[in-house]
Amino acid sequence: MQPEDCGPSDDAQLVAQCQGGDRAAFDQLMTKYRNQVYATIYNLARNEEDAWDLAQETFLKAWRHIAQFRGQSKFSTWLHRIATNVTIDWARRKQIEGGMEFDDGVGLHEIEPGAATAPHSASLPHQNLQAHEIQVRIDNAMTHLSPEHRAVILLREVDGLHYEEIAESTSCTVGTVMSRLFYARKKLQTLLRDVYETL
Amino acid sequence: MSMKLFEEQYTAWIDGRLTGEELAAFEAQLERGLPNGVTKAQAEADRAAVRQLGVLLRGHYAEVPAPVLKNADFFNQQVLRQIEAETPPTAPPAATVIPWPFRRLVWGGLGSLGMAALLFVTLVLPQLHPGQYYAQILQTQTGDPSISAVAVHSEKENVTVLWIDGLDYVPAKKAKN
Repeated sequence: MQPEDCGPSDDAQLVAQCQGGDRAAFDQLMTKYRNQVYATIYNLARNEEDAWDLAQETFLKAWRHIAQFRGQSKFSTWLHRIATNVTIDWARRKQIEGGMEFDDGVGLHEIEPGAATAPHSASLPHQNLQAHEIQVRIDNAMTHLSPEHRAVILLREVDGLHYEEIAESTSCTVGTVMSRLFYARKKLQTLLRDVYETL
Repeated sequence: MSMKLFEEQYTAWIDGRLTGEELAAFEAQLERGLPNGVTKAQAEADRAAVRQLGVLLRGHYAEVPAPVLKNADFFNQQVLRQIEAETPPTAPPAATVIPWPFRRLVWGGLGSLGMAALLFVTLVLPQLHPGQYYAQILQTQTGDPSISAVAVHSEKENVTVLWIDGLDYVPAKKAKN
């Protein structure tokens, strides 16, 4: 999703103004990136109200820490990292409070790369799967991933980011990104093999 | 090869991110079979499956309309209100304080100006009163260059005063004479 156009304003200039306490400049940055931030969070949280609140939290954090932004990365990347971390933290808290479990403790010994994996849920015949049902299956499968694994799989497979960019967005090492991708893919393969093999 | 390293290398191999010696070493290992007994054919099938999974996910998220923030203006307003609430009120500008040494200079300057104004009013202005004129004597012949003379004439009083300044002190004994 492209940021909302708000004229030729340059991010670096707006950020510098924000660092001087200019709230009007921050308002412009919010207008430019609010949909992008919201979409990122919504894809992880899958809930409109939560995504709205988390997007607000993201921008508040950005304002509180704007003085520490040195421009070593793009502002949008920095903001994306905050959004991802805010959402992962939220999901973790929700998991602890609600007793949710992300069943992604998959070990290499449990799933071999070439092993035939069967979907957990009762599968319909492939040819009968309707688009809506596929969407429900995918959404459901994503909820089985931990927030960290969901983040890396979305950033890699959907947003097409490189490992380094994902590492920056999720505040972890490239090695951790690759490791998380490995387990996230294995989990999704287990849950969705019957779906993607029919496409 | 450690377990973690294997996961990283396997992922990098699937995504085509292994190059050079790393790729050659990994492919050599594939030929021999991976540590967990997976054959090269199985690994290649898995790589194809992961790519299918990627296509499925991208298709899914492309079909699902991108979520749009509702009440966007209210969203900004709420954030800005929160920011305002968190921002400490700005202190009123402090009164300009002049450091003590400079304050002495200021008072000294003002005092000097006041004194000059007082002298001007009491000494010079009366001499400039209409009917009077004030003249400096430009040429005098004295043995001491510090001696000066001023003449003030008053038409009203019909008197001229010659004021000579800089003369030596006259001892009281001689003054009596």
